[in-house]
Amino acid sequence: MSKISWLQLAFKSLKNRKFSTSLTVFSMVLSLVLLMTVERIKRAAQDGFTQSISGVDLIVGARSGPLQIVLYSVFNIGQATQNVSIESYNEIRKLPEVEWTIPYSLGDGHKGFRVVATNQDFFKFYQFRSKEKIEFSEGGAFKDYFDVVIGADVARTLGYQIGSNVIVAHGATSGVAIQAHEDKPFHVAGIMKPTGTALDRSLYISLEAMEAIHLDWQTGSAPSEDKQIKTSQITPEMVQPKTITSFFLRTNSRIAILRLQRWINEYKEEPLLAVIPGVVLSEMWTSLSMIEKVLKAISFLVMLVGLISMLISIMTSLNERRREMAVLRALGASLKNIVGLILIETLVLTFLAIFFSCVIKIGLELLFGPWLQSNYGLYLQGNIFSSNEVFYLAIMLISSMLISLIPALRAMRSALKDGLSLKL
Amino acid sequence: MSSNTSNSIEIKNLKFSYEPNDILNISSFKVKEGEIVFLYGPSGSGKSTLLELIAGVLKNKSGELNVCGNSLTQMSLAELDHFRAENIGYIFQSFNLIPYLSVLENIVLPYLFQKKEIDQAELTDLIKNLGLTAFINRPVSQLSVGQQQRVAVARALIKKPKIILADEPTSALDYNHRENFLKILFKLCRSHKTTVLFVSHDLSIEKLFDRSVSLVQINQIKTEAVEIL
Repeated sequence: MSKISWLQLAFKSLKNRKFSTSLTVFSMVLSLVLLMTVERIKRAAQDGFTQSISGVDLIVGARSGPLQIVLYSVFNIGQATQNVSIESYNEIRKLPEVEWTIPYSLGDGHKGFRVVATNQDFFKFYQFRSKEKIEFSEGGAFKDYFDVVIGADVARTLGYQIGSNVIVAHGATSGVAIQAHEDKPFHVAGIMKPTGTALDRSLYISLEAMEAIHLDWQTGSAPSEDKQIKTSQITPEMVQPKTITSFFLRTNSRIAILRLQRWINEYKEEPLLAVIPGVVLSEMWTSLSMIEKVLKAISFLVMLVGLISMLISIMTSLNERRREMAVLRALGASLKNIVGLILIETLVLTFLAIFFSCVIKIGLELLFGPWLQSNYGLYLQGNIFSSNEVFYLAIMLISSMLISLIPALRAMRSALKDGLSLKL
Repeated sequence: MSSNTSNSIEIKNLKFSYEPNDILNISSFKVKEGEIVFLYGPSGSGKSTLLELIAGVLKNKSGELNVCGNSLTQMSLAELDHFRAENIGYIFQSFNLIPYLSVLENIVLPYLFQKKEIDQAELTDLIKNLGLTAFINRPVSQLSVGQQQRVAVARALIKKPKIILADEPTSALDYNHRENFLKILFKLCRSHKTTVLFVSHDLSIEKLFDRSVSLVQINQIKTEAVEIL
């Protein structure tokens, strides 16, 4: 038998009060998990906002809401209601103040992932985070009609490699498609490196390929076998794109942005809308950060409730523990030891709460990470714990220690008053 | 006056009061080293207060109180706590044990306050002498009152204190158990030359002690409880 330590004593005492201990730890865990979850989602949203796209001055689409254009072009969320004609695109593309453009044609999907039709400029100019360009982990950009480039998540989730067959589903960017372009399978030509943005969850084909798979779909549904156009029959003239969904635009000089935006918004040939992504994102962010503040306030209130429940649980236990304190006093415990015991017990409670909340937090991220990615475009990137989250844990630790001084000093006072001859 | 080392406890003109009530005023009381003394007095006569003073939990207001050669009057609270951990074994009337610790954990609990290592051979001996070998890993709640009091004795003796202070430890036991309990306690204390100051209102066990002292006679304060008698 070895000596018993104060920590062991505190542990056993808490274990003896299993029910109230676990309730207390539970409420503390709840508040920490809430705080950290709100923080994590905020961080993911912020990263997504600031990192998904960079270097783009304008995003142009058919006239609808500015937010809508940004959401479907950048974040894979929602769909366009109208297209942009290729003539308008070409006219804007050739304006002297335009440095480069990236056309996007959306609408098809593959096993829940979005298929984007674009051109080589996408690989050349698209930037995310701070001016990072697209890189390939295997293969390269599409060259043939039926080449497809896939994002890192697509490759990982579906287990695709270079050369894998991909059948594009018609008109379904998520879920199960009713009709598929089974007659014209694609082959994986390149796999992109992970970017931590919506790019990872998309497949990229050429604009011409998008036309090609819809060539014989003039009625809006799959052609009967006799009307199918064979791959060998396709000529370059047949697959010239007629419309696109939207395009990204970079100007030669930042001064031109506003003028160009107004020019596009007043474009006579068809109703277009040009948005400055930074402006739209910051507006969206402002409205979201209100929600974040409310959530954070609620989380702090929950933390307060957790701390108060800890206080109540320790306070109520003190009266029934007066005899125990007298025994410890008789054995040589000083008043400082009594205060210390209560503080150690609180420390154990708080560390248990911190431990379990971290385990639950990591578990929740593993469990709901993929779901957040596919449904909300939120990527849980970077360190598992941000400095803010560590800060919350520290707040919990410090405030629980401070609060436990109340029962600790009370225990000391009653131990001093009771002495050894406490009669029950 | 220099303290006499052959006396474990020396009291001179000791006064103590819980304002505004005077509790104790003892002009002289001595217990020799190794002596087993019965101090009897009715409830409310200040027995427990005297024990708490000797244990250094309470501080006396005036007079001299020397225990094991230490003048408790001149010690700070921290020194008193240390003195208690080193020199005093305390046995309560009941509820001696920490309910969430096992029997063995309760016995070695005093080492929480000392840097010394446990002497395993002596621990085993002590447990055997008190007939507790079969119970050592049980939760204390499964023990009878008599067994619990024997665990309390083991805990009080484990550090080899110079003095055992016992506050009516037998009042919850029936007569046969009382006598057995005291015989074991005295045998162990005599073999370690431990001084015992045993307070009780139960005169039926008086004959088992070396000496018997009435608190009412040495205390010049007559409390209400005493006056009723």
